Amino acid sequence: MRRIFSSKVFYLFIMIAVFSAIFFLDFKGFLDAPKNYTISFFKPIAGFFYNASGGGIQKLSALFSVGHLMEQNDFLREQNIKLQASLSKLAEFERENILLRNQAKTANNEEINLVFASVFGQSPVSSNQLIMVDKGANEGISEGAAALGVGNVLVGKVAKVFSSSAAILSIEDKTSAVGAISQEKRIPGILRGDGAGGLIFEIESSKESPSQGEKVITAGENNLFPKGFLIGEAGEDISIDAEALKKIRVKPMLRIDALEDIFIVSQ
Amino acid sequence: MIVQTLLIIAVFIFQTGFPALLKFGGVFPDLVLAAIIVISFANPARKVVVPAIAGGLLVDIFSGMTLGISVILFLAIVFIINAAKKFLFANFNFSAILVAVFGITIFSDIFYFLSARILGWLGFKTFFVETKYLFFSVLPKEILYNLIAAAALYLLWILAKFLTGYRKSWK
Repeated sequence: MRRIFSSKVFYLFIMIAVFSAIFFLDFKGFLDAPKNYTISFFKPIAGFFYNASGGGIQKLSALFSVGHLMEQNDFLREQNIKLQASLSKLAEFERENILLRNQAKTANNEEINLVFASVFGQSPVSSNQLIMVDKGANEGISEGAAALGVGNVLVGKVAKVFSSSAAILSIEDKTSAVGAISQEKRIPGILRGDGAGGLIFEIESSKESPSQGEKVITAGENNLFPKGFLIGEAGEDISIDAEALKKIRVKPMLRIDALEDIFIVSQ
Repeated sequence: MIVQTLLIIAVFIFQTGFPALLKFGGVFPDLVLAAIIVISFANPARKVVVPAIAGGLLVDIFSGMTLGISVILFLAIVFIINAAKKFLFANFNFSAILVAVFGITIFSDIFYFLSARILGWLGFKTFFVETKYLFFSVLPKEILYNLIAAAALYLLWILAKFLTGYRKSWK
C-alpha cells in the first residue's frame, strides 16, 4: 500500500484529477470569484505601469521625430483648416437634420449608452491580443459589445466579462472578424486582423474595390455592436487572382497597443 | 521560494503593463516563460514549483485561457529542466539556457495550440489561433525575443549573485 502512495504514477494520477477538477470548475464558472479578486488585486499596479509605459513611448517617439515636426506642423495646420470647413458644413447639416426630424415627428431611438473604462494591461501571450479594462458586468458590460477609442473609432469587441473587469479582443487580433462596409461605395465585407497591427478587408471578388483612403465603418450586428463606427482607411489591394475573396489592406485609425481609455457600448 | 515567486510576479506585471514597449511586429517576448526557465536552471525543482503555479495562474487569468493550462505547461517545464540538469547539461552555462529556451518556446506554442483545440472540441471557450499564422509568423519571432529575454534575465541573475555575494547555486 505504501509503495502505491509513494509511486510517481500515484502523484501523476492526483495531478490529473486536480487539473480536471479545475477545468470543470472553470468551465462551470465557479472560479470567476477568485479570478475577479486576482484581477482586482493586480489592476492598480498593472494599470500604473501600463499608463507609465504609454507616456514613455510617446516621449521616446517624440525624441526620434524632431526632424519631421516642422513638416507635420504644416500638414496639421492645413488639415485643421479643412476640418474647420467640414465642421461648419456639419453644423449646417445638423441644423437641417433637427428641422427634418421635428417635421417628421420621429424620435431618435438610436441612443447609445457608453461606459468609460481605463485600460490596465494586455494579454501576456502573443497568440491573442486581449486588452484588459477596469469595468465589467457590474457596469452593464456584456460579451460581444463594441469597444471604442477616441472619436468613436472601433478598437475591438468584448470577449470575456468579469464582475469588475473585462477582456477586449482587439480588431487587430488574427481571430477577430467584424462585419464592415466602405462608407462611400457601400461595399460590404468582413474585416479581419492580420495579427501584426494591420487589418484586411475581405470582399466578394465580383464587387468593386473601395477607393484608397475611403473610410471603412462597422456594418452593425446588434444593439451592442451598432452600425456606423469608424474603423480605418482602405489602402492597397493585396488579393491574389486565384482567391475567391478580394483582400484590401485597411489602416486602423488608432494605435491600439497604446490605448489608455476605452468606451464600451452597454445595454 | 518567496524570492522566486515575487520575481515571477514582477516579471508578469512588467509583461502585462508594458506591451507597447515590448511588442514588435505584433509579438512580444514571453518573459514569464523565460524567467521560469532561468529560475529552474538556477534552483532545485522543489523551489520552482510554487513560482511556476503562481505564474501559470496569472497568465491564464489575464490571457482568457482556461484556468490551469499554463500551470500544467510551467510545471512540465520545471520537471523537464530538472531532468535535463541531471542527464543533459552536466555543467550549467549560458548556452544551456539558450538551447532550453529555443526548445521550450517551440514546445509551449505546440502545447497551447493543442490544448486550445482539445478544449474547444470539449466545449470550452478558447481563442483559436490559425496554425499557419502561429507557427510561421508568431513562433520564429517569439523564439528570437525569448532568447534575448532569457539572456537579459540570465545576466541580471549573474549580476544579482555577484552584488549580493550569493554563492549557493546548482552543482
